[in-house]
Amino acid sequence: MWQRKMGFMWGNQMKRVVRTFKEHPFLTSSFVIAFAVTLFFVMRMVVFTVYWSDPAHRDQKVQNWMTPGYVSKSWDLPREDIEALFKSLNLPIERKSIGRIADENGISVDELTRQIEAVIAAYRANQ
Amino acid sequence: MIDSVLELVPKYGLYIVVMSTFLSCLAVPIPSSLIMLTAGAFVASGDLSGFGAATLALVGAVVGDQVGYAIGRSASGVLDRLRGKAAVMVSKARNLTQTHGGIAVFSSRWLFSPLGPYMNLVTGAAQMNWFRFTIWGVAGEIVWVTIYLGAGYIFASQIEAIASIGSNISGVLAAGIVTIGLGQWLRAVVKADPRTK
Repeated sequence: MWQRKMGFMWGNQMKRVVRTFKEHPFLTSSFVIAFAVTLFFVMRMVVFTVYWSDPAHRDQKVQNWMTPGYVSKSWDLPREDIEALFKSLNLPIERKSIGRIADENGISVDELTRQIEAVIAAYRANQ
Repeated sequence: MIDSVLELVPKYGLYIVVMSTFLSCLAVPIPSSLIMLTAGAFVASGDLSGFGAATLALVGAVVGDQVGYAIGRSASGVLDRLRGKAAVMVSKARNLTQTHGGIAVFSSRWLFSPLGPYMNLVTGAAQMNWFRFTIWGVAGEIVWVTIYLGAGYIFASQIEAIASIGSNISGVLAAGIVTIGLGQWLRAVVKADPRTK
């Protein structure tokens, strides 16, 4: 008995939804789309949060866009250490990305990155 | 994608800060939040001036808002010529901006920032008082600049993580508030229907 009643109520609800959609197609579909977009961002937010909460993903690598100052700030490396490296390679310390400094001074970015990582490793080993 | 944006900031410095905040207020799809976070990180590393970044970001955003508002305002004449049901809706919208426009402008600068550019056009078209628009707008942009530059400064070494999580949070908030608004509108429509018990 109650199943039949539930079925009847459910049918009524469905009819109402269909009727609302028929009478206000633009409003109803906008609502559905906005709701879907919200869900999409919620899911993405969860995925990214899980991804970045893994410490392995958080340990960033030295990359082209970083400046010498940014490297020293991010790895808690004394500025003098990185300045000493740049001096030994005859590179100017500038407010430019290391990719650009390497390009402008005819040294490969990979080589410069390796050298910087070696300085970081040496500094950490001494800590 | 994030990497190429990160490259631009040390290359163009404060120019990119002012241009991105200006253009993003006009709905040009520019990752201005990411640029602001990156600028904050480069302030922390001593590559950018903090005062310069904050001032230019604010100037870019406020001028962008004004241009958006002016475009909306110039279209408001068209709305005046509407008749019938459309005219009723326009007058309703104008009343709504007079009562709630301030808080809508303020919160769409930072909390629901993806909606900001459209809010400029709508409030302009609805002829919201210019002075009120400007006061609330500037206040909201100050909050926005502080949050993004500040987050970039504090989380300088985690810039990619902050940027990707942050952009999703603003997506959830903006899409969420639109969904709630449309949902309430839909509810009002269904309730007004005499066949609904």
